Formats: sequence, C-alpha cells, structure tokens
Amino acid sequence: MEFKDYYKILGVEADADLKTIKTAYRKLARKYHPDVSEDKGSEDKFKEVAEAYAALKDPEKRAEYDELRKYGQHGQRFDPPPGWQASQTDMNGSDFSDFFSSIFGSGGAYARRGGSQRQHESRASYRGQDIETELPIFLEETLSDKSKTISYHLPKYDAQGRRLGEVQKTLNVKIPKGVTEGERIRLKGQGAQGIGDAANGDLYLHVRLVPHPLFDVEGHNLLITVPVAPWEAVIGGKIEVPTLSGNIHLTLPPNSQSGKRLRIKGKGLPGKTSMGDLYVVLKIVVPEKTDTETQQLWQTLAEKARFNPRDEWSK
Amino acid sequence: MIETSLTITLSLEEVCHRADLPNEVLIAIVEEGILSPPGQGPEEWCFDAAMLCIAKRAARLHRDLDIEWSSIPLFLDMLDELEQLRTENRTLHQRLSRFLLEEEN
Repeated sequence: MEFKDYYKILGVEADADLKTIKTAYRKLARKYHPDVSEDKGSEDKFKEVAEAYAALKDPEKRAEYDELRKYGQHGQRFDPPPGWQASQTDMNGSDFSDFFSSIFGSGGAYARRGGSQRQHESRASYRGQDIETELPIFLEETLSDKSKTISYHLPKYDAQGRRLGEVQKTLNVKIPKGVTEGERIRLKGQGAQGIGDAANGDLYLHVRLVPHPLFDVEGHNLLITVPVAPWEAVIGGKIEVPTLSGNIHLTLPPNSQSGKRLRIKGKGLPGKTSMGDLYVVLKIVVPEKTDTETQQLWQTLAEKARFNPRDEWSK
Repeated sequence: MIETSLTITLSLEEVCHRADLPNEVLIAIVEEGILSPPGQGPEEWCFDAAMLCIAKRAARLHRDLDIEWSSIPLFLDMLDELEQLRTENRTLHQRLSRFLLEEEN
C-alpha cells in the first residue's frame, strides 16, 4: 500500500488550520469535481482530494493521521506500524483508498453519504449501491439488435458490510433499439450486492456513441461530408455515397453549391418509432495538381463563363 | 441474456432514497422545472433513469461542494447548459474540421 500525504494532496502546510484546509479543499473540489470538470482523470483526482479532506477536517482523524505520518512518505510503500488498529470498523463500504481504510476503517462513502440519518436504520441490511458505467456503441451497432459483452467492477462486501475489494463482472446485454447518445439503460439488480437481506443495486449503462470517421450524429440523423469535383457540382449526375448499411447512388442536381445539404430518407440512425435521415453535405474540392492541358481548359472556361463569385462585394 | 430496459419509472420516494436526497429538495428541483416527471403532483410523479442521475448529481453537489440546497436547482440548470454547450461545441468543431484544411504556411 502506498502512503498518501494528505497535506501535499491539498497543497497545505502540515500546521495549516481548519479554515485553510477547508478553503484548499473547496478550491480543488470545484476544479476536479466530476460533475463540473470535463477531464477524464479528474474523477480520480477528486476522490484523492475528498479523501484527504475527510481525514484532515476531523480533529481526531487528523491527530491519528499525523501520528502515522511520522512513519511514511508520499508515494512510498507503507505498512501501518505493528499493533496499529483501525479506529472504526463498524461502517459499510467505502470508495476511499486502502490506505485510508487501514487507518480509519472503511467508514468512507456511507459515512459521508449522510450516514447519520441512516444509522438508526438496521445496520445489518441495506440496498446495494447503483453502479454506472459507460457503454461505447459504434454507430453500426445501433442498426442491428445483436448483444454486446460488457464488463465492469463491483465492490464486494462481507456479511457485516465490510468492503473486501472489487470483483470484475461480465454480462451479455441486448442493446435496446433506438438508443441515443447520453441515454441510460438500466439492468435491474446487476449493481453492488445488497447487505443482509436487502436487494442488489442496479447497473446503469451510459450510452456513448463512438465518433465515426465519416458520419456525424445530429439527433437521429446522420451527416456525411461528400467531396465533389467542380464539374460534378455544375453538371450534376450520379455519385456513390456510403451509408451505414452500404453504398447508395445519389443524384446530384446541376449547379449544386458547396455546403448544400441533400436528404436521403431513412438512412440515419434508428429512432424509437422511425428511422432518422442521412444528410449529404457537399464539399467542392479541386485537384491538387493539374497538367498544362487541363490548366488551359480551365483558362478557357474562366474566359467563357464570366462568373464573378464576389459580385456582391462590388455593388 | 440479461433483460435491459430504457423505460423505468421510479417514485419520488425511490429516487430520494437511492440518491440520498431530501424529499423537499427533489420537489423544489421539479417545481423549478429542471425535471419534468409525468404525473399530477408529488405522489404520482414518475422519474426515469436520467432523472435519477440528475437527482444523484444534486446530492453530490451538496455533499462535495457544500452547495446550499436552495441553490441546487440553479446549479443544476447551469451545469446542464454547460454540458449542452460543450456537446454543441464539440459537434460543430468536428463538422467544421471536415470543411477546413490545415494551414500550410
């Protein structure tokens, strides 16, 4: 187990008063709180900060910790000195580190979660925690009703509700048709185990659509940017366009502007009741190199077409 | 195969119990229009999974950031808007990048 220097984590001196500690915590909490921050690593960072604050805000805990701190250094291996007893072991499941639990018992999460109002309830049984995990789904997967294998971690408890680490669980789930970005799928009873006779928590899968190299998502509609040659845009004709379910031929009307959107009905993502549409966005591109002969042809065209795209500006 | 469900309904009591949120706070969140559970009045309200998630977020904000219960609805509202803007910004950036080329000089 690694020693954690809670003062260092909060960025305060070892003799800081409670007010300083509180201010430091609040500042870091606002920065790293997973509900506020967008960074991937912020949740772990926040947990660390919350753990440090839980240890230092309580004078008794802080005194115990200060005593131990004489034996350890931040980031180094740490074993509690012989004969050390965790001060309280009567509470249930914690999401704090092993280091914290070894000093203070596993009273973290539930104690923080308004434990006082819970304590008069029977300690022997209560409902397991709900677990939430992200479920990345490829756009192609929303079309079929195949199942998907997911695995996630569950906290494990003994009969008294003491945390015994984590177990990995694997499930085969059917993705409901028409799921969209951000939606939550519930799997009843697949969360953390209940303590005593109480029910298990539920598992929530938070749907995340994996970004696609070609298609952008707009609700149930898809967008694809299709490059077209200048002459294709002017003359029109049939072009081949990829969709999630294979290529199709699209009729390009003559004189199509760059940025024009063409709708292909029913080729978007499946919705709860109907299919979304695919929008083709035209992007006119020119060849990277042209030979002398082609250059000549363009020159002739420029003279004959007499088109000034900036006409508006000279008025 | 595990049954999955998108349409779940939870009562006011169930949401408060699972999120560890006082009833009156959840009622305030609904009255502020941040959550709109179908049903006439608190006894009939039906909450779904996304609403439960917002209720849990409210409890976390109060616990971790010491935000007063009375300010929670405003906070949820602003966080929701922030999230929408971030998503929109990401989408527009991605779409724009398909049109723009890297500058060469």
